[in-house]
Amino acid sequence: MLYSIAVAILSLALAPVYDGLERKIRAAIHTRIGPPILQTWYDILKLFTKEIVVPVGGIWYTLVTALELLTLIASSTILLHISSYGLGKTALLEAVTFIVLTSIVTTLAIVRAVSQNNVFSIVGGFREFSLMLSAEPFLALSFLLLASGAGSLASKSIATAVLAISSYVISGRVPYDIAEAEPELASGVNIELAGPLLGLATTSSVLKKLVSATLTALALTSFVGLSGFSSLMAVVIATPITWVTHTIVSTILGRSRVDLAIRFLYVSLFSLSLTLVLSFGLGL
Amino acid sequence: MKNESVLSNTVKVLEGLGAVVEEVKDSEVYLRATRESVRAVAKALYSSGAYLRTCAGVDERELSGMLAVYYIFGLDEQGVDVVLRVLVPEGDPWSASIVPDVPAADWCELEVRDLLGIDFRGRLTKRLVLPEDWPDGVYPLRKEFKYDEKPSRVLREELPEEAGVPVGPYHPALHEPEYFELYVEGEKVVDIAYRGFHVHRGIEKLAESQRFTYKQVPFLAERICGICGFVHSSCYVMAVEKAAGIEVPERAEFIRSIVLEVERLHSHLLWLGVAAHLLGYDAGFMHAWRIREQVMVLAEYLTGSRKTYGINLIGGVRKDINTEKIDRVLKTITDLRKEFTELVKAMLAVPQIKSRASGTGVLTKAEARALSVVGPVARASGLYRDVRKDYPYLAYRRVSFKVPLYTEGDNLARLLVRVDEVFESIEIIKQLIDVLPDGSIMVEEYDIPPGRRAVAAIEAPRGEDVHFVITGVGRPYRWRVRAPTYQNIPALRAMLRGNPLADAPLTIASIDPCFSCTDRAIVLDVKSGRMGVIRLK
Repeated sequence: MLYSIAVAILSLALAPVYDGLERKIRAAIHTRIGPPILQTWYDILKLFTKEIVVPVGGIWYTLVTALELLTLIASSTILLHISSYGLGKTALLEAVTFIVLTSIVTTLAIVRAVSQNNVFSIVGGFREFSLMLSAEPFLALSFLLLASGAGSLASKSIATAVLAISSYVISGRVPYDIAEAEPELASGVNIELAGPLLGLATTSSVLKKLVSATLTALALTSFVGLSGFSSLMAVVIATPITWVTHTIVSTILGRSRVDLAIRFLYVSLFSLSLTLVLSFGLGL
Repeated sequence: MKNESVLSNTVKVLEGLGAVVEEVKDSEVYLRATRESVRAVAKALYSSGAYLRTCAGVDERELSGMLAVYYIFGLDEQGVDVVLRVLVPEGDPWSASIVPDVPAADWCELEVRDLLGIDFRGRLTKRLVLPEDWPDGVYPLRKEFKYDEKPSRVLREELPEEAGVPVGPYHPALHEPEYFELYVEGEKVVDIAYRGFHVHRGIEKLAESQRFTYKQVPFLAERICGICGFVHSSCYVMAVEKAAGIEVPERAEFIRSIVLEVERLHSHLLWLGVAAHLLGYDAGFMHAWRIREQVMVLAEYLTGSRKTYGINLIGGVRKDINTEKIDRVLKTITDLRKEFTELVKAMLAVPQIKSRASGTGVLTKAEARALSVVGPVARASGLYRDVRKDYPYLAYRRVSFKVPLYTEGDNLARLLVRVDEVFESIEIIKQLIDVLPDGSIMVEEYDIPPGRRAVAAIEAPRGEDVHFVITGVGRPYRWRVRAPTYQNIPALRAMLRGNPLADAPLTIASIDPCFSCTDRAIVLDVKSGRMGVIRLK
């Protein structure tokens, strides 16, 4: 229990720092100086000192936002718990729990968006829904296959590729930041948020990025065959490296469009997943 | 004139329809038509290949005892403006509309109706420029209306009853206040409603007032736009110089042309950055603006200001370019070319840029012609239209350059036109610097007789900028400005319909719109759900 609480606190503390690092790296690529590495922390703390402005939807809306954050903390904790055993050596139940929690997070985010009497938020919510439908089933499939420990090196490599792409999508970065898409939706799903509620949403957003980076780091480190504390350490070290990779990818790309994004995801993830299933079926 | 026989044949046809030739100048032909015959004359002119540059309402009661509408057509192939003047009696102020045959006259006729009180028959009319609280029967462009007069307000309820996806007046995709109501089915835009003129600053009226003289107006003109202000001041001084027959020193013409091209570089780099940002490619945005900074530093070096240069005067310019400056210009544009080439290569390699800009916001050549669009918007739709080539002015007669032309008519084509134009501008500056003539930069003495008319046009970064001047005593009697965006905005409806909502900001930005500041905002009463308008003084 204490271990879980410590992991949750660590996740909450580190995610904004990694996000600050992301902003610094992006600024460097832009030839800007950029904000301090702790800026995301400063932003979140500042938002929590502001007055609470409850948008249309009232207390229910606030609860959904808080619940989304709690579920993300739980997801992150479970991931690190799995890391301490090593992917492929853990109980399948924990992997299933993680997938369920991920789906709950997505559902809560969509409920939060579409419950607003704001056209930008609603359009953003439906975009999030479409995107998640295109990525999460593949994420679940690849993660469960990797967690089961079955399959050859080739099939594990394919599963890792599927997991890396789908987990990048759930991080909500360019080109898949279309639920917020500032130019046309003016922050979309977040448009009605201010003060502490925006603080909660911002924290959720950076935790999503942490979960995304940890997932890929977990899959990649599983190839080394570590277990126990060394496995956990490998994931902890690989996570910021994955985060930095995500940052670079998102900086050199542009924003996609919902139809183009879905088409690309279905074509790439479906063909990879089909190959994966066939390789399992044929025992390759 | 490139082909006088074609022009004289056209004029003969117009005379057969009742038009009367009033005045023929080097590059302008003034005709008069009756208000009953104007539609047939305009139709024949439009059918002969002319396009409508703009129209202007003039209170000529002090000159001819009548109100007047000037329709300014351009015959690109002949490089001639054909100006059609229609006189309208004050007591019965109406004229036949030419909109059914020349759709591009839509806005300017409505503007004449709002500001001068001439009604146009045979078309739908509505208030376009004046705010909703402006009283009926008060026409600000009539001479008895003082430039600083504030008529009593009339409170009216207005605004859209059904809301689609509101874009503006304040929106991240719009850097100035405008209002687009996008009606969508799912993610597809099925129709749009546009509301502009949130601030009509009355600059034309101000220039006619006692507060301004001929020499001061260039500084006012430069403030029409924060990005292509030099285009406006150049166009104004050219119109006055043309009307008064002032011969500007050649060196001054070269300096104006160089600064105009520097302004184009600045504008296109700015736009390219904005386009990259709208497509979520912020690295492109930052680097485009980093490169643009060099152009602003160069502009400051040449003129003393990063923007709003203020070097134009009637008769010439206030700042010369010496040898030291020439070296700096050449070095800057050489570096710029290198960096811009790398930027474009990187931008076009981003898959989302091509996939989202291709096939979106399409404006066909026929639509472009019907709406008389100008600049990169026209050239991206296959219309070969560039004032620098069609009506050569300043030092553009002395340089060789290509006019980029694409036929796809989509957002990518408009982007590529601007990219190509940056390279062409760099070459134009090099050529102008190479053959910069010696001599003075200003005419010291000149006279501007009243009652003269002239049309001047400059190819601004956004397209053709047109100024029409009737000279007065000490100041213009009438000064009409038609910025390129005025001509291009009506095309947005055709460009946005049937396109994805996500590409709407890019499509709107693809005409490089230039709006102005706001004076009012839309408010929504959350409790009652009612919308209203708040006016800010």
